[in-house]
Amino acid sequence: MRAGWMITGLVAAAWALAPGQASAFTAYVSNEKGNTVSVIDLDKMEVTATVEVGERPRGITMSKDGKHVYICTSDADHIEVMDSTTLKVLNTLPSGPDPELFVLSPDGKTLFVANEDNNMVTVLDVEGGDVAGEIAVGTEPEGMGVSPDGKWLVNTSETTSMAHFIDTATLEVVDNVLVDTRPRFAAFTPDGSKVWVSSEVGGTVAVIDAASRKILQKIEFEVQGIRKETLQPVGISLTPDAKTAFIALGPANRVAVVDMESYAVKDYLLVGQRVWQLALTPDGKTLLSANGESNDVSVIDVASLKVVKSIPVGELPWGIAIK
Amino acid sequence: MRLGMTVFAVMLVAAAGTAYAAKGTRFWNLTHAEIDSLQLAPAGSTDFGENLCLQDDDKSVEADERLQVTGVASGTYDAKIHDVTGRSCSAKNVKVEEGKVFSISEKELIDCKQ
Repeated sequence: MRAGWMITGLVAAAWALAPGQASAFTAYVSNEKGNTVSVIDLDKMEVTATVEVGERPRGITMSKDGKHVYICTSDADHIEVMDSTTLKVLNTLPSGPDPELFVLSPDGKTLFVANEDNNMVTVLDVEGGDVAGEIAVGTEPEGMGVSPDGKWLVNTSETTSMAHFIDTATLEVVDNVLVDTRPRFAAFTPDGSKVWVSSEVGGTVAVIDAASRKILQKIEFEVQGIRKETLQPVGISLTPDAKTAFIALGPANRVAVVDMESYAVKDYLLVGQRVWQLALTPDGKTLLSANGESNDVSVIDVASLKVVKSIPVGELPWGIAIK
Repeated sequence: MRLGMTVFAVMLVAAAGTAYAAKGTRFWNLTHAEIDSLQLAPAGSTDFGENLCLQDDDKSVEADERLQVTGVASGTYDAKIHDVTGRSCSAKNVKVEEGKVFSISEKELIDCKQ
């Protein structure tokens, strides 16, 4: 046991001291209960600023040019736009009630917003700030994934337990795939051929063929000493080389490491408490997890699969965007 | 001009306040399990009120979900909860403010019995 901790310590020290490790990446963490965004310098591995934003910030993502941070402020019922350098909230964009999670189109022009309270996805023209359309989906929409070519959108609805496939040209739902209970997150693989959907209460991740919309695989999780019902998949992050999937397991305080070819679970990484959303740095070398109950962010070295640092942030961290 | 801006700002703040209050008092379940009973008593007393979960359509509040509740005045309460796994717990000094969200998290639970 002690040897294990020593190895982890050595990996962390080596990771921190490695020449050329400087990344110049900045992470923005939405703190759901603190109503703030924590800004983390990933070279210093510390919080450099805390910004007050609207009530209940949850979904968070970067603009394609990295200049802006978009934030779903759920209780404020709108999207806030923050300058990623000055950290000033510049303006707000409309959404439906209780926007929870969104995804930006590959061209950076459109935000697709899941509004938890009105069972709608809002289609938002980012530049003009106008609502370009609304799409009726299932009850309590949440997970949002867009295909790499921007042609397909997948929304998951928590209560309906479905993944809705939406044609972004017509803004119509063309197919619905029943998944396990309470789907929380959807992510397309880098080649767009599959969609991974996590089901929090069902305890599984479904891998769906994007063309046929058939479920190819259901991934289950098992950690010795942890009750099955505690293994609640939420956030998903897929490496750009399409080799490894990371799955946040909520109150199990673990991130599962899954081989994307065999679907085998290779490892479980112990992180902070109630791990929710995940984010990879653009170079794919570092994974961050937002840990809601322990109020921290775990930093994971992807190559060694070691947790190298825990960074305290605000109250109830939920999502992460990285510049 | 300045007066106009001031009036406009006051109207904006008032509108925001109205919209916020319209969401009502909400219980936010931050425990790890779906709760089917939540009762509140003024802090330090055992005068527990009705099961607030009965105000929900399906009579329970899932983990991370919120329930709009009525009939709860601002104050500090002790709570008794029961969840669908059969667990009963207490929580002390839960602060409720009318029109806002109050929560009970897993780490606030004490005296749990299965």
